[in-house]
Amino acid sequence: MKTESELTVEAMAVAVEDGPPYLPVGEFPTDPEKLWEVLDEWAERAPAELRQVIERMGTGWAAVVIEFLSSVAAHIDIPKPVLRMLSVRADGTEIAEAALAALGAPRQPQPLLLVQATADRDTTAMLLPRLVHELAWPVTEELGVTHLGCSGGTAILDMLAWWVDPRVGATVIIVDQPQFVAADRLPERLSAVALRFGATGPLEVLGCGTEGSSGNVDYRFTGPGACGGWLDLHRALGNPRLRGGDRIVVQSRADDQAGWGLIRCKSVIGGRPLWWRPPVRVTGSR
Amino acid sequence: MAVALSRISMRVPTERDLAAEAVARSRGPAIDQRLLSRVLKLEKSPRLAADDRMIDLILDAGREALGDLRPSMVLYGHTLLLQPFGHRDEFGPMARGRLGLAADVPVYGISRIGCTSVLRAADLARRYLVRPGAAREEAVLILGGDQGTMAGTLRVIPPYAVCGDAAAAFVMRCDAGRYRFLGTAAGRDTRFHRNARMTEDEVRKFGASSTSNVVKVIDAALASAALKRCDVDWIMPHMANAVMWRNVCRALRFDLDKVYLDLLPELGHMFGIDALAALQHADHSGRLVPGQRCLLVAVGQGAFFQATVVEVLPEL
Repeated sequence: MKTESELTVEAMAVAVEDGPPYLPVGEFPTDPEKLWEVLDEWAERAPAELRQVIERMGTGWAAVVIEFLSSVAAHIDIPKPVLRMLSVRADGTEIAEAALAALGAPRQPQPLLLVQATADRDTTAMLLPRLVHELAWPVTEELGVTHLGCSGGTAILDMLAWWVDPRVGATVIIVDQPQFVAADRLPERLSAVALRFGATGPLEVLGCGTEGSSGNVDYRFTGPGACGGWLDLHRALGNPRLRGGDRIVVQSRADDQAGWGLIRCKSVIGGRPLWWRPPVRVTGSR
Repeated sequence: MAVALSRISMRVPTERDLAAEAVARSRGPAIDQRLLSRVLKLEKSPRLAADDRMIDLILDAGREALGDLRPSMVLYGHTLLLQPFGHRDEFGPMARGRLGLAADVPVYGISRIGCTSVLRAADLARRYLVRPGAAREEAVLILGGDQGTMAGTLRVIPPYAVCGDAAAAFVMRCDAGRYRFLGTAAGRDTRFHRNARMTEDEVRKFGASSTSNVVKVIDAALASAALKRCDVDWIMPHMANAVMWRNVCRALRFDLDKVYLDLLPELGHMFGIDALAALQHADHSGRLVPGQRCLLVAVGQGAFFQATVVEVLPEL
């Protein structure tokens, strides 16, 4: 176990997108020198769903996507015929924004931190400033944390221990939305967990780690990806069974890595927290 | 307790593209090389050789900056969110392995704030080093750099910055280093979150916003260090182009000759490490002497702004 702080989870909210639109990308050019010469041809030959997105997003977006695909093809061992790309939704909805909206604005100005391993869903725009702009919350500092992989949802607790002043608090949004995947490994859902940290919440953060043991605990919530066990913890809070003093481990994991966060119920929750809401489901227009 | 930055370790590829070639490849608004050179002072942009890898540049710089030190944390400031590495979450383990660090040393990517990410990482490191309970001998390694050539379409930011490949690294510690950290400030104007999808009107407004916000964060950074504009010996600039700095200097009433633009024609913009490259070059060229104060300035798409004041310290 790494560090103890006075940090607590004051509230949390979840948003999910079931059956996210992963599109086949067709045969795309990988020679950057020929990008513009073949761009139109690629757009014409692209699978129908992708063609619609290209028409909606424009040539500039398509060019960036081809360059990203070229890089992915060079660095990930997924053959082009089975490579799938997460599409931008037609209504522009982002699960990160949906989760944050469900969490609601903080009571006082505080930092906003986005934990996401992958690039933004719209490769030509920027999600974090969009969130700050559209939510219009009193954000004192904004920051994105990357390269934590699937353990990001719990590894970030170590950073929060020194970055966050518990009296001020911070809002953290953890996002799982793989951008490029093989057809046989498509995620069934995308997820985002919004967490409000501060000094007065019912869940006390005791520590975190990527190795070793968290010791004896009453509950262990585990799940794949950075959001991992936070999703099950959220569910457990909605069906109250946690008691004061319970020790909880939240795990986030992938094939070859895992992270854990140790949490203690500070007081008897004794029912669903007032702030608890069911997960927001992003559906409809793609 | 004073926190300081070590000397900067730079890795810049030897190959260059002409700025006009990069603009043409990105399908940016047509502009010829003479205009780029004469007005914007943009001539070349570094690019990785075919058999070079960006991660090697970054970690080589990191290894040099570390020397025998063992950091308790590594922060990697980057602009681009899709990189030629990290697809399998391998950056942290690879950095620890190549830098000889223990498995429990945290490695965080600091991003999504455009090219302010490296200066922001330095501010985070400062806060980490002075946190309650910190050990005096702790060190934080800061890595920075991106591969602009990976996406030619995003390599040119209208109107105009041409982004090249390069890496930088330095170490931050308490009471040890070459540049004492005196103060910093951050700003933002999130009207420009559409980034590459901005309209021409938004691009024009972004230019105006950049000038006014750079002035604001410079003044705020100086205020955080209890200094005034007249206390600044050098500005180590965000190297978008020379016109930006003419505008900023006019607004600041600051002498353009004190903006270290020597590297601009040869290197152009290198994402978050422009100001560090200028600082390193000025120091290496013997232009800096102890006691001088330098303002490091970064601008990020989105838009974000960061200014940091450092003071040159005597060699140990």
